[in-house]
Amino acid sequence: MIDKFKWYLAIHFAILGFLAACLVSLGSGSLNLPLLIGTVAIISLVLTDWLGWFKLHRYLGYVGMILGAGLALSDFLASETTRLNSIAAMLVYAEIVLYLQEKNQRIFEQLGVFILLELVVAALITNNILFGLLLIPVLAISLSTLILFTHYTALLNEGRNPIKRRLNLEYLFDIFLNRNPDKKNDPSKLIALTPVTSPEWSKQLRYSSWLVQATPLAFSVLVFALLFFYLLPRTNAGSYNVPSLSKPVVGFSERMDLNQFGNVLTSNQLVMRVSFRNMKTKEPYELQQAPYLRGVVLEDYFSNRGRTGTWMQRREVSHVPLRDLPAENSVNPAYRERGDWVAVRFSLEKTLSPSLFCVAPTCAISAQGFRPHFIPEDWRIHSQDLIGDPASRKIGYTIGTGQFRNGLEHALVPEATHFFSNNYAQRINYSGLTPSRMIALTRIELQMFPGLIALRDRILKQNPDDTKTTVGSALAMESFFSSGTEYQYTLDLTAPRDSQLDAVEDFIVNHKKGHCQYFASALALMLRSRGTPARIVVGFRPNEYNELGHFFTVRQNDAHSWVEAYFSREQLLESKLFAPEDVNSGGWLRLDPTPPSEESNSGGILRRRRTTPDFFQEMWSRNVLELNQLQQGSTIYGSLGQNGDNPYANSVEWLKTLFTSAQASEMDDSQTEVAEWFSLPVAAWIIGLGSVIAVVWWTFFSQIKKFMPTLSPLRPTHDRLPAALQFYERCLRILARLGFRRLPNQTPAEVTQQASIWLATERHLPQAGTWLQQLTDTYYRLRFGMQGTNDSAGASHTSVEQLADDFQKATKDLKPNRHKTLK
Amino acid sequence: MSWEQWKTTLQRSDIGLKRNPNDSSSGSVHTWFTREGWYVLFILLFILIGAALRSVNLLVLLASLIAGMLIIQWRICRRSLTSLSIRRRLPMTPQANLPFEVSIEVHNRNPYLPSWLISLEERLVRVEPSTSNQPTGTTMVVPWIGATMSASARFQCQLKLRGKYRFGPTRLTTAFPFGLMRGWVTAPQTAELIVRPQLGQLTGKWQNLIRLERQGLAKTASRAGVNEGEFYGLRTWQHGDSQRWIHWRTTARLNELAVRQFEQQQKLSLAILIDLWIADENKSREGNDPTIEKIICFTASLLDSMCRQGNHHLAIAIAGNNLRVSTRIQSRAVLGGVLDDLAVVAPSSTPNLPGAVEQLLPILADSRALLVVSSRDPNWQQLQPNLRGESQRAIMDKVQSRWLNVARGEIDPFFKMEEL
Repeated sequence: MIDKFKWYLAIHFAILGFLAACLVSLGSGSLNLPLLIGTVAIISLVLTDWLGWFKLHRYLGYVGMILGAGLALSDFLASETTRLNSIAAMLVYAEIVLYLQEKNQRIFEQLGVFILLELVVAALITNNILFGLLLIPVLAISLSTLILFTHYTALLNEGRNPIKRRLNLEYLFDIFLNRNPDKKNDPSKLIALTPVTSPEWSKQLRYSSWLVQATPLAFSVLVFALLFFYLLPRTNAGSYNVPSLSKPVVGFSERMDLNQFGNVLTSNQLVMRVSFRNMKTKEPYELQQAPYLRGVVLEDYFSNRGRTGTWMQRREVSHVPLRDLPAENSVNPAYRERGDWVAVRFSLEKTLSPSLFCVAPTCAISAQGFRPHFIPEDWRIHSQDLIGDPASRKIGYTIGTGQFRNGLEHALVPEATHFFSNNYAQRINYSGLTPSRMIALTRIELQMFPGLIALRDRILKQNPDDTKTTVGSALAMESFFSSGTEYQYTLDLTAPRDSQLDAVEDFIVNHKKGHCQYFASALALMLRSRGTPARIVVGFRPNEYNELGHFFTVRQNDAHSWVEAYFSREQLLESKLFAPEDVNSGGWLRLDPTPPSEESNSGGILRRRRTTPDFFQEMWSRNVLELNQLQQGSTIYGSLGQNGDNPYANSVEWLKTLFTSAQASEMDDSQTEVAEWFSLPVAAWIIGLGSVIAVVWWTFFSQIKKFMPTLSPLRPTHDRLPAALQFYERCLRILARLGFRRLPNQTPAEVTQQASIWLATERHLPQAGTWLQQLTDTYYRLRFGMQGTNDSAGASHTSVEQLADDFQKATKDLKPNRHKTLK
Repeated sequence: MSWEQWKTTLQRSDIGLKRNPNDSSSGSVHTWFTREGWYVLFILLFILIGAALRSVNLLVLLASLIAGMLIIQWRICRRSLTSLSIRRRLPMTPQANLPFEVSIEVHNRNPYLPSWLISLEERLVRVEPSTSNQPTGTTMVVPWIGATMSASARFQCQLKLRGKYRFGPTRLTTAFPFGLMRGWVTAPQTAELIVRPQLGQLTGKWQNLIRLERQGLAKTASRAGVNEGEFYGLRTWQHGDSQRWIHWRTTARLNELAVRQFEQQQKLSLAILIDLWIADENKSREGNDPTIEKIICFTASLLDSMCRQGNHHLAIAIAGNNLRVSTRIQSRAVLGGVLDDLAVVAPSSTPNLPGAVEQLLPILADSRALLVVSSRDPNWQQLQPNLRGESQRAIMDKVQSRWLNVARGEIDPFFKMEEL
């Protein structure tokens, strides 16, 4: 039987090792390890465990492990980013050596430890939802393996002497002298004890039995693990970011060169997921058009004839003063009443630049760990923490915006000085668009763009009605480009460049085909040529909306650039395109000149999809990978305290107030830092809830028997007799009712003898002795296989029951006595 | 009360079986980590620390699963063991060197939860004749015990040495389901079992010795006439039959010589003195001295053999650490008592031989035959008790004694036994 268990264990460990390597491969992106260990596992199962042709010697195994460790160590030292992968490889090499050895308890133990460590490494290097999905079969097989292993070790220990010698000086002395201390005075030479295996055991130890056992246990473990995972108070506001070998995919450099040649390659790689949620209703906010997600804002254009045109930022992020993005309460009340306030959540894959994305105008939302910084001049947000971060990582943050109305994104972006309260503008010493910046934003070398000027004039001439106002002129130029009649969108930039012309001028004059950067550049320069401040905004415009998860999936080919042009309040009102109450001051009008096409992002038509894997990955990221103290507090524990009707809400609030006052009065700064991660309400809730559960649990299981005494399964069943012998218990119950109790050490024959005398003398029932004798004889015959002393011993079960019935009828009218035991 | 009933009663009282389930419950349940459990616990702590420091949620998830396994392991371990009780079944008269089976019935009182993979660690120690014996034991596995059901574990036991053995207390352990923790509970019931000496085979020389004795008795019987035997039946006369056995009335009726047949009542009357002497320097092996064991095996075999043959008049005095004397060993029950005495007797450096002889004097007055089985050379002076009066001295003078020194192999011609 042990061999059978060993074989099953070998199969289980082979599967488990393969699955663990698969989990590692999710993070490393390489299938080498699962393929390697899968192959070795199959070979070892056949050659080592089944046929027994090849078994690696123990010491050779150690040598193999050392070699494997050395191999992995060289990779470990070679690259800093792949260290965890090297550790995983080292574990796999060790497992391979163990697979090829003859299996025993030691090998199985070591395999288990290595596989568990491999799972730990896999958890550190992957963030794929497949990890969670694969964890379920891994859990099931692990539990099955552990149950099997428990059976295996129990059977191994069968027949072993359980008495171990105590560790004392004599014992150590024997070991020191290389004398086997256990053989000294060994009584096993004189006493041979051999367990006898019951043939029924093989039926009880079938494969199906431990599979049946593993299923509910796996379910229980899973339920407990989920509760534990979500209720365990987190101590950090952030979450771990998985290091990865692949290059960052998010973020733009702080310049834009119009120097692409040939076919522009687009990638479908995931950049981020963006979700919109109404801050009042907490429901997902449905957009009617694709949103503009701002990234980098480029203001300065450098033109080099014969070379390329380059858009650059006025100031790099690293050179701007560090200002936190203002919170919601800093927003000007006039703006707070307008539009729908929407929380926009960005889940970025790895980013290579400190610039972040937003929907302008924006503000910070309280209760989030990540604190973005803000550049008021161009509504850029960024994080100084990302500057110089060698391990680019995933970032998740949420910002608020009031730019949406009925699902549509408003085109006019106010200046930060107007959007936020005056106090804020004074505090940061920012007074809006200055004359010097106005000059910079309208700078253009007109002599380099004759074609562009000519086109501008033509457009204005063609639309005399629209060009009466400045805003109208800008919109006419935007419409001209976006109509796609004369200038088309293409990613094929294979046409030869005229080295004598600026890249934008070449686009305007010669090619008339290009992508969004060319269109945006042309419009921006065209606007500048008319004295309108204009700048380029580079970001994303996703149109793939996942209806299951209510989020936009942003991919690399969703990258987009558009133009923002500044108009004064008067210019805006002059256009009559904006309601006066919406225009408190001047603002930046978004203009998107890129003509819509299948390849471009312009147009804003949403492609609604129900992509399940993407949805689950987002759910996995949001609810598992990025669970932190703040999210836990707001979604799990916070839900208990947010409802005003909830009786517990007051206590939570009271605890919060108490803690805050304690902080203010007693704690110094260092303690306040501790308080940031320690949540007293959370701790109080855990202790309180745990106490309630413990009390309920204890009460239920300890007191239920008292309330339900008649339930037969709850009665003591220690001496319950087989069904065929229940009549004897019945007789004893009748006697007990009458007042005769059996002593614990009395045999049935003694009971019969004494009860007969007692019934005859005390209760005047002489015939009861005969019945009792017959019943006792039958009891002896059935219980011990004896022949009864009376002929009635062979009576059938029916007749015995009849006897018991007679006895009961005869004693029915007798009044019970006080319990008395005869000796 | 019949024998079987008595045996059942005795068994129950011996092993301390109590009818009240509240009284038979075992001690408190203990749980502790197994070696595999320590490995897992160490990794769990490592994971938790790492997860706490760096907020690695997948590690927390992994730790949650491991913690779940440990919690469930702990609860099932405890619940499986709290409702168990045991009942041990031992044989009545086991013999040294002959295998016998011991059964332990485990009962699960829990009305809902079965118990899985219960290991029974049974302990066994020889408590007499020597108290310095190392305990030993074995482990049995019961795969499954259903709710309110019982299951039995058995083990075969072969004890090379006679003596009184104590079984128990029994430890019930389980590492089910995951083997990460082991729970155990100790059932305090113990049972003592007397293992009688090994029986050897008396050789033909011993039979010849007995036959010679019997011939002497036959002559005596013949002289004693018909009163020495009980009437058995009639048969036709055969050549050689004594004339005194002719039944004349039947002869007349049958017109043929008929003789009476008598049941031969040839009794051997013998007093046996067992001198279990051991030198002081060998005191340490008092429970396992080959010479002593041989003496006891020979004596047990002799008594068993003679009890099987007929109603001999046997008396025995066992002079060891205590003096035990039994006279009129005729029934199996009395023989059993003597064998039990032989099972637990220990040798002594100063056996009380004079006292033994003194207590054997009434028997010696009739039998006049004394067999001394000793572990040393004859020392008749020691046999001379403080005889009171001339009559006792006269008895001793008439006694024919034989001293067998087992240490010198003087019983080897008469006795064979399997070497231990």
